[in-house]
Amino acid sequence: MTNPLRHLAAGAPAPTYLLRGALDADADAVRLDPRLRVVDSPRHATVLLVAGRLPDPLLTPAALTHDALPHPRASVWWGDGDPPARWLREAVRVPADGDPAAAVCDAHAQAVLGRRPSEPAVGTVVDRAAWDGVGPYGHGGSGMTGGTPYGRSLPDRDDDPRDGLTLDVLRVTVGPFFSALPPGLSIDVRLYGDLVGACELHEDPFATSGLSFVAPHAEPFERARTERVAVANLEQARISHHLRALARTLRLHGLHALSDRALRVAVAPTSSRSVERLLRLVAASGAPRAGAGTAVLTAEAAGLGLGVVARASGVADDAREHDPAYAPLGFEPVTQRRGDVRARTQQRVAEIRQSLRLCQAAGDAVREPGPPVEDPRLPVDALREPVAETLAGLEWGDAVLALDSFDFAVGTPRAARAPAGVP
Amino acid sequence: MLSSLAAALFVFLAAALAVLVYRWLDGAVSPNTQEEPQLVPFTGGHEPAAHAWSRFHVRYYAMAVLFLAFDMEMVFMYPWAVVYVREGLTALVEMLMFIVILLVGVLYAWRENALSWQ
Amino acid sequence: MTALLFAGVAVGAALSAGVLTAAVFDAAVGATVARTAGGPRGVLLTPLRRAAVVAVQRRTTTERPDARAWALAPALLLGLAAVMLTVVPVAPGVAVADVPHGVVLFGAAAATVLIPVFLQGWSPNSAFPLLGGYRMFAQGLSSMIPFALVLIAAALPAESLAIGDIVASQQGLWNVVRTPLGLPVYLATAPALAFWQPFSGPAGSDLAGGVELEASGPHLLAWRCAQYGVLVGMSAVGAAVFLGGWAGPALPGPVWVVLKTLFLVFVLVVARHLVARVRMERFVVGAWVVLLPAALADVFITGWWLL
Repeated sequence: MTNPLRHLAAGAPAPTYLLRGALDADADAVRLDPRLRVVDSPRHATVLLVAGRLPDPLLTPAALTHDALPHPRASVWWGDGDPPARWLREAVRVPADGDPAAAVCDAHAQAVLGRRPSEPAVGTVVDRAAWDGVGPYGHGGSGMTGGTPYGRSLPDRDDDPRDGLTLDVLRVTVGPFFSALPPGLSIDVRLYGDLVGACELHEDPFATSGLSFVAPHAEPFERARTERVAVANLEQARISHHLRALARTLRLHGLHALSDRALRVAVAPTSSRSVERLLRLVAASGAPRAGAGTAVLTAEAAGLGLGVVARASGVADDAREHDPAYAPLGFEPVTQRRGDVRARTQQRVAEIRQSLRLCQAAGDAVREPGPPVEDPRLPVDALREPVAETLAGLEWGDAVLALDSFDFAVGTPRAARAPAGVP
Repeated sequence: MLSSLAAALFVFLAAALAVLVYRWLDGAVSPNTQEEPQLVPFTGGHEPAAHAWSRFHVRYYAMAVLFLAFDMEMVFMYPWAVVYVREGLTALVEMLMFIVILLVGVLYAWRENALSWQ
Repeated sequence: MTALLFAGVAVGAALSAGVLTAAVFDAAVGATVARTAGGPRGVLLTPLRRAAVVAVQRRTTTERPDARAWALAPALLLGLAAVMLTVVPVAPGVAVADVPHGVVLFGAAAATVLIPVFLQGWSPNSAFPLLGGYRMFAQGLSSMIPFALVLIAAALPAESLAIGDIVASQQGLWNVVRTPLGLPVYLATAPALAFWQPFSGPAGSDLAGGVELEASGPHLLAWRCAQYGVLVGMSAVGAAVFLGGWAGPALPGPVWVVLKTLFLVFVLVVARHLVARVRMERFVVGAWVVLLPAALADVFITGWWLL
């Protein structure tokens, strides 16, 4: 009875949970392949796609995420060299320049049809207290919340920051592989109800392990430091980067289809008509208008050399302003005023349009290396504390949108952002 | 009328039972072998520090009281709707007065920020 | 007894067909918006294949869930979706539950949707589903009053709370014209009660799936089908109350009921793919300050015209 069902299931787009590591290939483009479907929760996935090397701090979370997948499950390791973890040695291997979607689709079919045994658990759950407390629900010990109920304590009590009520606070480490956060970023939050109290961003795990990588679409920014690069290429790379950020924002707003479309436009060579149509749809959806007045980063806190974030706070700091290659193109930095979530999103949209104009005006112009490169990638360590301060007091959904609006490029080499004026 | 209500109740119970039976059958056909790491609630890869069950601060409790007031108004509007055409202008004016008094409550709640959380 | 069985089979068939059609619409509109290639065969088969994958997965559980409440959640949701379909009349006097207070029964079923969504969020004992469950209460409580008020406004001309009578009273003029603010407010509050994008806070992607985060396997399949079922049920009643139900030229009545229901389902599916999720706080304020006065205005404008 189940066989026709399993055959039907084997032909479906494989629900995949994506773990982003240091990879020399475009991990975003894998979302567009019709043979698989990237899902928000590991419990909806059959295949775990580990894209690239994972740094050491991310290995235990990766194992726990692997175990969260329901049976039948399979793993695919996409990258060159040895897999970062022992449990990935038996996984399906795809070289960095290979076709991950074919491997994922195949692993899914094999797991669903039972031809490949479903993978056993690989994580070890440590610090698990004894499962029994005292009393019928294990709440026992002294008083209502004494003892160790079922292996984990009940939450602590604390005064609510807004109205002083003493209620419970959930302390959660929202992990590196949470689909609402930038991939690889972890934050420790204290949730008072659904309001974020104090929170702390972890350091970039790729930087601390020396595994920084350059995403393929951002290569022109790296090359422009030392080589001659066509201005049009540089601006195309910028459009691609901002469209990818926009795609992540759209996904957070629940617009998965529009997000796929934005990613499609980002990955394919951009024609300004398709970009314009996409931007009009995005504007009509109401997504760029969200977050007015939340997570304001003042001009002083934004400082120099922080790209889009600084310009959205009103700091007219753009390395292209003093770049001789851009002078004949009539370049003027675009800024927004308030520095809130809405300003940052609208700044990205405005910069996309600006880069489209620059592309058309540039033609075959080439940029000489020497002046600092205006790099849209923002490393995490640049703004950890200021961002954590802006997130305090926001409702969880607004906090997620705020964190996304900064567009942290987790894994970017620290030297990517050279402040203006520093060679 | 009772037979119609019985039909609605029967359909409700049948649909609910269908889901429960499907769930139970699936569990019986292929039993669930769960290992411990799979049981951890997912928060991105780290284990949660505590159970999630807590005294959650429900910030919209003031709005819930406002909802109760309007719910009681709904109770009166259902029969009012049925006799409205028969009663004419008096019905309209009386319900209008009732609603305006309640709307003052909404205005007060709005101005006192009972409807916002942050 | 046979009548009850016949009623059950009819509602079951209607629910299955409705859920499948809604899923196909969702896939088709999604593919169009995302500009993915894929013929009509892909659009028809993909929802079935995706359902098959979810059915084949095992149901996972968490460390210390509330197992009974968790099992009840999709069952209750599907039951409510089925009840919503029972009050829809397909021809004069023909409905599974042709009660004289159909509007009240439907309103009660729509309001009770909060319970299974909260149970689905509470039961896994996990942080993000819990947040989703509490969001549903805020969303549901705020949208319930305008939702019920526009149904009452539609009942005013009919002098009856029976949905069949409301449809019969629209023979000359549909309620979408006679109660002008009715359908817009209905289309703004019905998806909020069904936690359908753009009101998908409880199951939103900022909670990585929210109430659906810890659900998998047959449990998840039943849950998602039940959600589509609630959407179809609300569209069916909306079509009956605002768009004239079985009234229409040329085609027989039941066909018109189906076409109008599918039209509303299509509108809601398009809204899902093109409108960003409304933030929780913004929605609560909007529902009480904009939608509620609009619904009240709708009631009084209709009352004034009837004098």
